[in-house]
Amino acid sequence: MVFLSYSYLFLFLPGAVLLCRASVTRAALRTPALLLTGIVYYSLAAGLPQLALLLAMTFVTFKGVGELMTSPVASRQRLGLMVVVADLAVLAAFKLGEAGILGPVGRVLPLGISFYTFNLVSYGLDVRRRQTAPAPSFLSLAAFSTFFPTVAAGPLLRYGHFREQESGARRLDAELLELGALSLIVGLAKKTLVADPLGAAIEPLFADYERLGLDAWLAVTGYAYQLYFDFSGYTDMAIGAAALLGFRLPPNFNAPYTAVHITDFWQRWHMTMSQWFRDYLFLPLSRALLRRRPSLDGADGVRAVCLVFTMVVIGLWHGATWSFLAWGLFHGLLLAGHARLRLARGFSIPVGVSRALTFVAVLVGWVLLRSPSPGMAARIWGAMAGLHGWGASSLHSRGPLLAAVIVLLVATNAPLERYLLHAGRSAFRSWALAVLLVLALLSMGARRPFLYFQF
Amino acid sequence: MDAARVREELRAFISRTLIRDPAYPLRDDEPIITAGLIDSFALAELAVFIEREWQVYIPDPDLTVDRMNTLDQIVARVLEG
Repeated sequence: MVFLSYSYLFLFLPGAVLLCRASVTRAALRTPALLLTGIVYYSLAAGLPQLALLLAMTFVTFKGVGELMTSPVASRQRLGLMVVVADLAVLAAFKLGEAGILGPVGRVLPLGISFYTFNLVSYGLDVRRRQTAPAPSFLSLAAFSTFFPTVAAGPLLRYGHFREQESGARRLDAELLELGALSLIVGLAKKTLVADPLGAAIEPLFADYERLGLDAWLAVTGYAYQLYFDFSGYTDMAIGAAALLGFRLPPNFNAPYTAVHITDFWQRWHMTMSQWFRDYLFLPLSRALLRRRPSLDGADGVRAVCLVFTMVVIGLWHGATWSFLAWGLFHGLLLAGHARLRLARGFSIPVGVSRALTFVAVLVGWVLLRSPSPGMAARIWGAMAGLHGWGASSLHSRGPLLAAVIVLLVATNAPLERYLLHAGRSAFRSWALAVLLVLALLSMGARRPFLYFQF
Repeated sequence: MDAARVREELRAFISRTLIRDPAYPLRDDEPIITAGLIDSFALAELAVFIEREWQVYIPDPDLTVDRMNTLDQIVARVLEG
């Protein structure tokens, strides 16, 4: 069972909302109710063995952090590190297993392991930094790690934020209910009406990539929007489900393809992940390296090293393959280059040009994510550079239609999303949402899995 | 700790080392992060500078736009200790 099933939308979700809402006034039942919904969802979506792994990792983290709090101050650093390393080791083993590096071991990546591991790691680190109080019970931490709206693909959560909302007053909030319903409809529509049809339209282009010419731009731009609508659609549905349960989740996207430079892009794309890496890797690493320097002047080399290292780790978090590593390295170099340009005095380009350049840079990077081999990526880049003419793909008869759809998406995606989610109430908007809902529900039969489930 | 001296030393450091323009007329309430004058790495540089100058450790979670966006906010955080 995933978000895109009738059983989830019409059976599980209403049941979970009713159960959690019924426990609003009974503090002792809130956490068990949340945990129960999380366990039922995850066991149906991923199976009991994967649920056992998730609960085991949660238990180890809970016990480890408990030990940390009762141990002498001198050994806390070491203990905290051990908890984090234990969680990350499990994640790394599965990532390496999935990539075939460990032979037949761990070929199947447990659902959401990249996300729930990072949630548990941030819990351990936040408690160690005394930024968050330890979970009062294993049930509370398990309710956090199995929280069904986010367990499969985020957004990444911080335990302190979750606990605040779990233990706080959760009255029936009309604004949250409206946010929940709107986000569910918009998310469902993004996935079924845009991401999936777009994915189906461009798939033949990638399958036949050796015949691509300049039409590779069409394929890669289509993929960029498929990825965005797929992942942000999932995120909207997660935000919607959480809101119906009384939780406000952090935003994960902010019109990323309108970014005016590559740093701006990373402040708009998968925001909870960027913030996670900033807080737990980039800043500590930067500070540690800066402390070793006698002077803080001219630390551009340190900045570049930290940016590239962080982005390579972000790439590998997606998967232990050459393409993710290269994608992370590519973005790390872009960020380091942008930092140098930003600091260069007297350098500026018009906003429209920098927005277009940023979009093109992001597209060049997406080729790596879409290509299972370096040869395929090189061939597509060559096609985009015009080395293979106009292209002779089998899609040519439908090419203009696809191009028109993609141009429309580029032009309308951000304002349309703002209108549907944040505009004031109006009859037109209500009708638009109702039509979207009906069309989305009718389109659910031919669904494809969410792209970010593979991470 | 002399608040006025802390303010001027921070102003000089931010202009010279982080913005790379010693003559930059940085105002007390001017947003330096949201205006794009400095990035996350510059916040790390700022934190290490504060550690060295006044032995005040600012935890990573405090290095945010909500708490370190203006000279006023940074001075207040340093004086907080």
